[in-house]
Amino acid sequence: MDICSPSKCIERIMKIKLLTLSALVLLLSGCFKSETWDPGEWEHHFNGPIAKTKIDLSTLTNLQEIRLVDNILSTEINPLWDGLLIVPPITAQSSEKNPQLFEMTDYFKAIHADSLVVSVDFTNGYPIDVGKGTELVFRNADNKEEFFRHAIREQVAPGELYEFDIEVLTDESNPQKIESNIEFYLDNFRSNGTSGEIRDFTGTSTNFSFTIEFLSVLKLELYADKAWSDTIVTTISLFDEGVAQQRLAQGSIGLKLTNGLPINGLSFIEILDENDNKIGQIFTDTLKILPATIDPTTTEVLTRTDEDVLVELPFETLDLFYKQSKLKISYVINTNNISSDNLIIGESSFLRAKVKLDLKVYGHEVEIE
Amino acid sequence: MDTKLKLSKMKRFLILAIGLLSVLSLKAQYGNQFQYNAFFKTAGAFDYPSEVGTDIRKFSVNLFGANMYLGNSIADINWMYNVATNIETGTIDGQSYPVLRNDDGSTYLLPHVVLSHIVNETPSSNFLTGGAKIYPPLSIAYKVKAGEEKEEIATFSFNHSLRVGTSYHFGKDLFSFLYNGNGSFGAEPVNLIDFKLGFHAYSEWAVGAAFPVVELGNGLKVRAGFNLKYLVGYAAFDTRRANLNLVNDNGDVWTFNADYLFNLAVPPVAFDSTSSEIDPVSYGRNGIGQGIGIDFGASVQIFDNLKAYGSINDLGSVRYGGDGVRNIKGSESLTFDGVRVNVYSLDSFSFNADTLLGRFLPEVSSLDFNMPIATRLTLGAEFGLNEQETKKGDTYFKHNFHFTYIQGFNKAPGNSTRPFVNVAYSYRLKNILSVGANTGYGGIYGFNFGGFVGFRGGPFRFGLASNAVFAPLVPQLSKGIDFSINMAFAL
Repeated sequence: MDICSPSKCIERIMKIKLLTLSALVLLLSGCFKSETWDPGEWEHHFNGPIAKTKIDLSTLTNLQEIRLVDNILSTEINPLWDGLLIVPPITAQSSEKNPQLFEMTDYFKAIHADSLVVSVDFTNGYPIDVGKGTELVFRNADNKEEFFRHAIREQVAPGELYEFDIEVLTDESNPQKIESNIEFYLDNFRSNGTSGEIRDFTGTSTNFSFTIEFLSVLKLELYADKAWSDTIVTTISLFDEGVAQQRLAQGSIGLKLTNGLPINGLSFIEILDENDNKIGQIFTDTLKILPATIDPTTTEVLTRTDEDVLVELPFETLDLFYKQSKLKISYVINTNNISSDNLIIGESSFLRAKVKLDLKVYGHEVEIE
Repeated sequence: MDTKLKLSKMKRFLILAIGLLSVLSLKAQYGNQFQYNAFFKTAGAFDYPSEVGTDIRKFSVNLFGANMYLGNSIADINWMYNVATNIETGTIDGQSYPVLRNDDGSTYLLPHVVLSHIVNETPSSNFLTGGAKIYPPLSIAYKVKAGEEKEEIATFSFNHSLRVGTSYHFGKDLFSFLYNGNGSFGAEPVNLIDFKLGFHAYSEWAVGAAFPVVELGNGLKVRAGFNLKYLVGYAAFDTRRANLNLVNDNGDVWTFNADYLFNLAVPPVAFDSTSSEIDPVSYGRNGIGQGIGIDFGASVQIFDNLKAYGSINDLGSVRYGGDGVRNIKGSESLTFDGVRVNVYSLDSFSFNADTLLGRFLPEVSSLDFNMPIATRLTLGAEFGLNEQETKKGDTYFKHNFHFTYIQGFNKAPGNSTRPFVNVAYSYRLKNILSVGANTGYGGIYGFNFGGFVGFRGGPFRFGLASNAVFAPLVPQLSKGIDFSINMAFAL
């Protein structure tokens, strides 16, 4: 047989290679078969926790940054300070007999704290200086117990700003009780007066601004027969409009409540359409929270109450969640018919709520536009 | 019992063993069709070290060779072709989604089709694997002969090749989680990151020898061989451990348990903000990791026309260290019982994922690590019919039947632990053309139907091969592609 030369061999190889590749391309392009897509119904099953919340002393403490503003007219310090005057040096004026009354909160009768910060600022609006040693005093309105007294550290000239923060600490075993209703007055008011000049006191006043921040609250006393309520309306969209009727999802939602607070509660959730018309509801009956029992001496929770609710969410309910649907969540919390001895929130008290969802979502063919 | 009877029994045992192996498994691995091509024993001998020198008189130089492969266990070629060519963009309620539509108009979202396919129609663990091997012109073999009849003492070889491999092995938990939801698992743990991802690029410098061991008479000859390799590593990534288990306690609490260790080795310049250049010569020569590998095997000539061989290939690893190494690991457990909502700001609550994910922040170190190479067992046999003789007195068979079985031992990048079985037929025309077809199953391919051709013009040899060249004839069975080319010079 003939053995070809290398160049001829390569030429032959290339020809054969090209022919082979061409044949393959023709052969292969016709071999693919058309697929039919039939993935079956898509069932997605979600089961898990969704949300939780806990209301306890620390939650409530975080709310307690209270800002109070009091405008004290010069006549409240001395009824004669009105009009054009020459005022001699003053050493011990006081507005104690005409204190300003503040109501810090609507809900808490008293706050027992072992640590709080009081911030004060004022710009002297009187035509005389406020002398060093003038004292700012807070006391409870009922028992007149003083819980804050601060002597101004430097003379504050007319128009001058004075600011300070001070942390008030007490022994944890003997916390400071601060009632909701408190009084403020100036004591031991000092000034160099007008230095023989005539000055106009007409309508002069000073805005005293206070911020009380409770850093560590050990106990709260609640008012009896008080009620809080709120309604939250939130838009929720599970399905696009027009798709909901295809019965895409069903399941259940579970709500577990553990109550260690001395409060009653009611809640209900409605489904509204885009025009705020009620089209359904989540709970068949109103959800009720029963009060816990508290030891008034130790503030320990003696009995907690539990509510475990599993609400079925059939296709019909979930189909209501079109685009533009809304959830209207209403709740009422009150201290009605609870003994005042029990209306105490201590460190072991809390209200905990957990929501879990068990939802099966179905999908199949889709309609494209 | 006389010696003749013993040998006859041994042959029958070997034939039976080969026959058994051929029916043992119908699953799969990448094949090297140069094992079937009579002109490329030197290239084929990278898989069968004992076969070096069996197709040359004195020496050979492999000028250039390359082999690449890509396979998966998820989808066949037909399915992928149809998805790729039929995908559309559909608009649903003003939003665009990728969809697949049937001839009758029924339309499905692409994730629906893909997830359903993976969850319902694939094995419990899957893979995507690919690799390439390139032989630059540094692959030589030299036969040392001695005696009056110039009998072979040994054939020595030296070769250099560049190897790249990548693998992605993964379980189906994540896909089942996405498709069927966590509720479908009940209280059973779900491993959300159940995967092993690997990449490795390295070169090997190998010296080898093959030599006749013993001739037992009656045509039965035993031959052995080995390759000792010095490995130079260029880059590696390996997920040594990857677990993020989710356990659902009746919908009340989810517990996440994470345990992972990823090793990465890249040129240090990648982590050095003060330097932006890499010295390619130094990098090519020294790499960033070094290791040792070994191949060893044996051949048994049972009859003149029947031979069996086996080998263990790529036993070894590359050790990476230095500034380019990073070990990323973590072990953490946390529970989730709902997004905390502040009831006083319900109108604007937000989920702070960073806080949750922050718990899983990894610990990063720079400790040395070993990157294994794709260790595997290769068994083979060839049977010839119609013996011919060349003018120079060399003999060959016109019709040749081949069998290959490959079993990977580890999930090193490019390897498959699924066994691969392949059978082939080759026709040899006057010692200048060798052409054949092969078919098999398993390994990275699923079903494969390939072909190979080799030419010999004097000392020059040229070959092409692909295990998947005919795969589109049966596209619904084929799940991989590959291609090989080889050029050699031999005397």
